[in-house]
Amino acid sequence: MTKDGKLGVGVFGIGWVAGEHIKAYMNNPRCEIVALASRSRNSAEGKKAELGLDCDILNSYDDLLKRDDIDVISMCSPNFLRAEEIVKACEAGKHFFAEKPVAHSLDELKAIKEAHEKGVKKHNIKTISGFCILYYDQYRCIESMIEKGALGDVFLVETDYWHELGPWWHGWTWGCNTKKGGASTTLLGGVHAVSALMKIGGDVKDVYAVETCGHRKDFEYAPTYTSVIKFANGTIGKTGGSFEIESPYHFNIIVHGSKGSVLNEKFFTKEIFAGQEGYQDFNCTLMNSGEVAHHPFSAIVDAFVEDIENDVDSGIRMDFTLKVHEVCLAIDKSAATGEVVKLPLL
Amino acid sequence: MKTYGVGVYGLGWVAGAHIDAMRQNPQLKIAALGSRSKETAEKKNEEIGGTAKVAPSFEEMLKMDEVDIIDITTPNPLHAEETIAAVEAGKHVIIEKPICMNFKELVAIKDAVKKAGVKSQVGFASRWNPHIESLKGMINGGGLGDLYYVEVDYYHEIGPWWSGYNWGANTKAGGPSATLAAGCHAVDLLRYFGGDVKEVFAYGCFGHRKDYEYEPTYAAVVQFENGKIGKTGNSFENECPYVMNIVIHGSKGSVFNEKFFSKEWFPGQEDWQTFESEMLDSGDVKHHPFKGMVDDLVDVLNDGGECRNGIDSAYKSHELCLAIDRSIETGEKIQLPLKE
Repeated sequence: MTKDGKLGVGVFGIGWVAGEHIKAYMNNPRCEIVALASRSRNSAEGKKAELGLDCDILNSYDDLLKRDDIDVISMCSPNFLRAEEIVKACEAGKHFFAEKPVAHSLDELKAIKEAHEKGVKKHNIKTISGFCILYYDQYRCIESMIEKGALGDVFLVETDYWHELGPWWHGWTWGCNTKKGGASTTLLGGVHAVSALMKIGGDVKDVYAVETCGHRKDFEYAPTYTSVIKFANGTIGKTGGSFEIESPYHFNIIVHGSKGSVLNEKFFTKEIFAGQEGYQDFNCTLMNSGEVAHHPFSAIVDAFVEDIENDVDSGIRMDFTLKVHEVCLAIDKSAATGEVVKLPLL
Repeated sequence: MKTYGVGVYGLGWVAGAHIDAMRQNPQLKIAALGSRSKETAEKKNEEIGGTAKVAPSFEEMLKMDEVDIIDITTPNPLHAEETIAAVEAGKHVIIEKPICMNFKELVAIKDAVKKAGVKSQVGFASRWNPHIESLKGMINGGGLGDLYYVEVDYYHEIGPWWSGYNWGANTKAGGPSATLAAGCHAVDLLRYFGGDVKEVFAYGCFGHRKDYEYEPTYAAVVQFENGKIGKTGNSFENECPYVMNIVIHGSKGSVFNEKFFSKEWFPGQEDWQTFESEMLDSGDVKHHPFKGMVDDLVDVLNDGGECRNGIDSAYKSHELCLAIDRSIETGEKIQLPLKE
């Protein structure tokens, strides 16, 4: 707690997405940015000045963990640091908002799972993950429709993350070029599509994936993939991703249920609209931009803060986060081996 | 100007649309009509001015010299046998999809058509839909560059109101599957845009309808021969208007159904632009572009060459359908070409 009784926040890794986390905390009256830390001190200083913060600049992630007045950590550093950061935060009893992906391997997922279980038991930590898609107004509308029975029983879910990435992207050198121990298309971007797929369709039983290098020569992993999914409840789905599209960002979502359907910005449900004859359109913020400034970080932070203050786990829970990453790893394994991969892997 | 006589056998839902299209081509004459019901044939003949002969049977129609082309629009399970008989009688053929119910029939049809040396056109009429023609033109013209992801899905609620329901949805034994019944339209477009497929894997499921004997919903991923990837899916049980879902990603641009993006062609393009063409947005045969299909056959009869949906291409589309079925059934990935 800060001396004003607010939740003290420390943000680590002051790059592209950190600014959005910070702004979200600044918008929440229950939070106060206590300290920033980054591998580059300049980044931290720069952000502090840019946003007019009154906070400390610390030298390392460990320094953030040591601060008693920091209750919440936002992890915005390069992916390959994440798993270790999470384990340490659990041990230090800090609540945390971890940017995706949280891990690159089953071993890392296992380590996180164990540390998190201990952290919850010992320190009652709350956590949330950066699955921004799930907080978009459009997604919320789809979720609400499903809850209200507008789509009936869902039997086919398709999601895709199609977003052109290139050297202009802040995370290029560790996100696209470093295959060894690094990310893949699923973990880096497809994870958003998988999060929506699983939130709607439930646990995944089997996956089969194919991947390709479409036209770009500068990725060290296949930048395009697609996969078919068998859910535990017997229904099916499909999820894919591409970083090499030569067109604007597109988050693709199709949901077919026993009473209606959603196809991206359009929906059809005679369950709710008895006289509906053609597709109707959502009128809300659509999931149609890859810019972090467009993502609903305030909604995520506000939900997270409520969980902390009310001692509930309603947000993007760790067990769900781990399952989503597991499916990403399964997709990668299937594409690499040409075989069906069965879940769970852990 | 040469004219070609057409014998239409099977006078149900789609035959009417075929006949309408053929009557618009001055080189086609409806020479004969035949149906399992004589009244149906006579009634149709009356509708078109009484100028055709009513053939008492399929065999009799095959013997008619004035018939150059047989148009097979009977229930699916009869297509193979009738096609083989027609080509063996030296007739060119228009065959409604699907042309076969199984691999054995598929091979037999191809062999028979090749041996007979006649022209063939299969009813994948989508290829002549204006939006599809725009897409194909864009691809051929380099507007999308080299394609590396092609997705085509067929989402069309089909129920007892469909005239083919009794043999198309309920009778799995000897009848079609979801791919053969209608998913084949999407499968054919997948190949039309993406090329030949070397491997496929699919999952099927029974969504919510209780009246299908085969899985009415499936999703399949493919690897094209050129190493690129794609997906084709289907559902007959979605509770929404017809959709032929098309997504294409290439090295120079993309297409999402009615929208496209291509800086190759439009260097100043900043956001999606829209095709202004009739879309594939109805399952009603009255809407299907059969005119293009029959005109193409006439051109080929005039000038030689092969039809856009000639047996070589149609064989591969059906083969891919059967491979999808096999994958759903076995849970295995299936490699093409099929050997048995």
